[in-house]
Amino acid sequence: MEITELTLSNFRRFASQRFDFIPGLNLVWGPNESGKSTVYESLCCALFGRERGGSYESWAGGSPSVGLAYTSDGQAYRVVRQLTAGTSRFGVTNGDDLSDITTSKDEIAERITAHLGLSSRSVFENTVSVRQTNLSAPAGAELESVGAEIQRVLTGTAHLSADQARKDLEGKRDAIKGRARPTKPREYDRISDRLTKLASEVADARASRDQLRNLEEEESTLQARVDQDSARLTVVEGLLEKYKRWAELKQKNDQLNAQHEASFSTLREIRQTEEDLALVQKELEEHTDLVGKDEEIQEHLAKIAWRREELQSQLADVGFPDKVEHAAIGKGKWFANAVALVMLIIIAVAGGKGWVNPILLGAIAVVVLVALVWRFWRFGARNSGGRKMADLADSFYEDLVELDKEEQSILSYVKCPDAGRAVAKIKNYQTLAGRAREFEASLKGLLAGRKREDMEAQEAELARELSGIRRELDDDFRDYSPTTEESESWRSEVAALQNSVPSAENRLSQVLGSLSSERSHAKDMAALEGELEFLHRRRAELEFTYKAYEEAISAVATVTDAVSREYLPELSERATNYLKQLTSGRYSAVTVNPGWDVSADCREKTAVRSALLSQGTLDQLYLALRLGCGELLSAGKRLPVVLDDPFPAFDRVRLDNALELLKQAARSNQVILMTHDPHILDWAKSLQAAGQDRCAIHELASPQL
Amino acid sequence: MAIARFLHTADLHLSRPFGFLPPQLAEERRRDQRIAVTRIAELAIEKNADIVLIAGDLFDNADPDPTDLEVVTKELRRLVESGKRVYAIPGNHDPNAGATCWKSIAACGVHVFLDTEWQTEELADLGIRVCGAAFHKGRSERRAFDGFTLPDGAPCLLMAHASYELYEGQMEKYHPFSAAELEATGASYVALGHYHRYNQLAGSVTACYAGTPEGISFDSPETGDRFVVLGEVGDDGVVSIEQVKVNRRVMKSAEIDCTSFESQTSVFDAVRLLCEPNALMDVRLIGSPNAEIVGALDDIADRFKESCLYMNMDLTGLSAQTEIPVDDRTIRGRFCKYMLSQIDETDDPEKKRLLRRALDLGITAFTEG
Repeated sequence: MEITELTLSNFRRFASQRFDFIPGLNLVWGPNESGKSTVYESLCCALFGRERGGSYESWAGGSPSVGLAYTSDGQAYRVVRQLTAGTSRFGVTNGDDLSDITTSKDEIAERITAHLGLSSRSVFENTVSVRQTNLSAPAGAELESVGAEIQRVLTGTAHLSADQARKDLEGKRDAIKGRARPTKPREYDRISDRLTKLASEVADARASRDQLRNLEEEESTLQARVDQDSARLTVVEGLLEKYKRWAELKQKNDQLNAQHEASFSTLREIRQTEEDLALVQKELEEHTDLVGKDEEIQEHLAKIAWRREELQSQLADVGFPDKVEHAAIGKGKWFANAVALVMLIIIAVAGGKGWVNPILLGAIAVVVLVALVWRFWRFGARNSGGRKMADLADSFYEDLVELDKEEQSILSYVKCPDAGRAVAKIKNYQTLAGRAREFEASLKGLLAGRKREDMEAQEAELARELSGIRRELDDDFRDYSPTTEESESWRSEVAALQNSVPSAENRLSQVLGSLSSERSHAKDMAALEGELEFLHRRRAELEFTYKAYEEAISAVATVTDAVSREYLPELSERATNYLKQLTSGRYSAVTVNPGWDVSADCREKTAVRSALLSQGTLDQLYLALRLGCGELLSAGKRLPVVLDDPFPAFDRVRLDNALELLKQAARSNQVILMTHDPHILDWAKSLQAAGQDRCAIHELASPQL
Repeated sequence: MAIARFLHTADLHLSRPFGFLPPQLAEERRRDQRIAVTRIAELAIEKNADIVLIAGDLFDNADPDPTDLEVVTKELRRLVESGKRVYAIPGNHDPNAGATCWKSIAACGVHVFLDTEWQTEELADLGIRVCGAAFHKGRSERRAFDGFTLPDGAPCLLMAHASYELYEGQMEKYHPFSAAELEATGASYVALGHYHRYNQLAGSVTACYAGTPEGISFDSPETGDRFVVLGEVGDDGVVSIEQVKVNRRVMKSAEIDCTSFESQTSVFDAVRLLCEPNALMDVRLIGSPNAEIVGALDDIADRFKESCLYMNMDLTGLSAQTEIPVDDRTIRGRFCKYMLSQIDETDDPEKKRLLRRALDLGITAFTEG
């Protein structure tokens, strides 16, 4: 790149200024405050844009702008930057025309750095561009050694070296995790600790949740079992109750039935007996005359009979055994005579009238006559006994008559025609009375001291009860006929259920208690899982970032090592050439070793460490290394060298050496040198006087006094 | 004239872990979900809904947290006690298989369609039928309305946790159904669950996804306002519906391309424009701003703590500009080239992502210094 023109408008002290630069040496000379550093900064501003913190406002007012024209590989370019508006315009120039225009800052930067051959402002300002300051203390550098500074230059950053960048990365990496300060763990470690605890909490919560589910399941199962068993218990208890009732009813029925039957039978017997008794008593009512006299009468009659037998015996003894009979016949003689007379009259009438066959009448008359004959014969015999006997017999007969009268009196009392009937009546009475007594005794036995009404009431009660039982049996137990085995099965089932249901209820109660406790302690899984997920993701992010840092650190180290191996020998060689020239050969070699230690060999001592060098020599060493770095980094491109009063610590000899070096450099590179040093102005003028056409001088006006 | 009013909600996803949020905020969101249940119950009472339909995924899993179950049972019991007929079906997140929560829900007086075959409940007093079938976990590919026959007579409200084939959503294989199958149901209204954004389907059968009442992620179906459906069944059987906003917070998701931003201030301004005080924000920054901007964005989320309820700032889509000159021979330049070559060489996307991140970190380290 060769800068051809720099145009300033309202740029600090310059209201409007144009500098035309030639390809060789350009000297911008002026005293203090003439604007040399402004030219330097405007040039950097034109190339790389506004510097952070840079201040470019015009002293006279107006919007500052800077324009820069340059050529690269035979092509002319121009960039114009309006610094207040922050806009830039870049394009290819052809005369006054501007083509291939871009206003993209990124694109402009890309194209300018490509033409320049250096990647950034910092690289430019750390190599071939030197601000008005001590060479050994370049802008922003806070490095301990020249080597570190050179590494920074080669790193291409404004403020730090690759090693510092690596350390910065390592610091940030280590801020993620690591237990360098156990009292204050890193985020990653805090998360890991929390995750460890959380894993335990989650496991506990899951176990608790599982326990809760198990308990719920058990509760559900138990509840179902309790419900089912309770229902079954109710059913089986019902069955058993029914059976018991049935058995009880049956037993009671049998008992009552037996009782009732016995009661009923007794009552029936009583009733029968009473009926019988009533009948007997009714019959006895006909014998009221005999009540209490039957035996007397019986005895009396027996005595009469006995006396009669005795009298008849005595009659027999006196020869009139049949006196009684005779008397009886005597009594009947008149009756027979009357009958025979009546019959004879009837026969006579009948015969006279002819009503009956005469033969038959004759026969009847014969019979009657026979009968009359037999009667006379019979009574004729009696009259043959003695008179005494007859009187005795008459006495007897009188006794007999008395007896008959007595007997007749009794018979009259008992209303019987004869003694036989009277005796029979008495016997009948006595039989009835005996039966009545038997019935009464039987009745007494049946009642057994009870009242008949009570017995009837009891029987009625039994009948009622029995009826109720039978009705219940009919109503509730129709066709009900469980077997004993069934009832035993129910009984054992009830016993088992009565045992198992309370046991299950008890367990259910325990489970409900545990459930309540577990529920009150149950943690919300969502919160734990959410935190777990969040922390895992955050830790993964940190892990990722940690690994990314490690990759970056490794890459920085790798690249730094590569650069060290590739660049440092060549850098040492180039710096050696420059330092040798600058120091008139006093320093014969510059070495930058792979550890980035810089040393120089001088005539008295080899490998003098940079820290031991004088300020002037150190500046010269820096200049040599910077130019070497610029050549290395530009990869053969011809770089403009821009220096703003770079040699304040140089003595005259080494200043001349440096000017000679610049003169030589100007043969291939553009050199723009700002200085207030009259010696340098004189040197440049001498060059011009010697016909050096690659030297231009821009003298700046002195500031107003 | 309306013969019945109903409220339709679905996909409440109670007991959601919200693992993408910090634990405290996740708990806050779970509380929002519980509040949503209460708001929905109050809305049903306020609007005199006769019927409440919960079309699946009431819970995020079959074993919800006791706190959530307690709130749900309390509110559902309140609805039932105030005379509402509440119907629910299990969804793919809370299927009946192995779930104990439905027992508790049913105990509140809610009719839960636990059978995977279609069941019909007749509301003779309203002259309405409600049909529902539980999500079939073992046969999720079954067509949604297989086995459904429209009962004769009264208007029918249908409940299904199913995937409309024309709807762009996830897990569309869960009980899929087509527009034609929906038409064939002949239902007066189909209360749908599964997809999380409110969406009334086109066609002669009125059908609607109610969506989640509170957003449960930053995925696009979850962002923005959330709704329940209020409907009226006319005496002609025609259903008219309206959507009613119920969300307490809003989930917002945005992507901002930072490539053209000149400074971090521009990025902050772009983010600030999106912020709402009641929003949970998920902002993904993408593009390739210069390394200086990238380096200044690490703590960008902290800047917006007061501007919204929560800000998740995803910077993984951001990469510092690495358009280094071809011949940049500095260590920084060579580092970039080295990393880019490493990125090119690996086929592992995760490794690529790691190396890309390492490159950004390296560039930031070189720049920040």
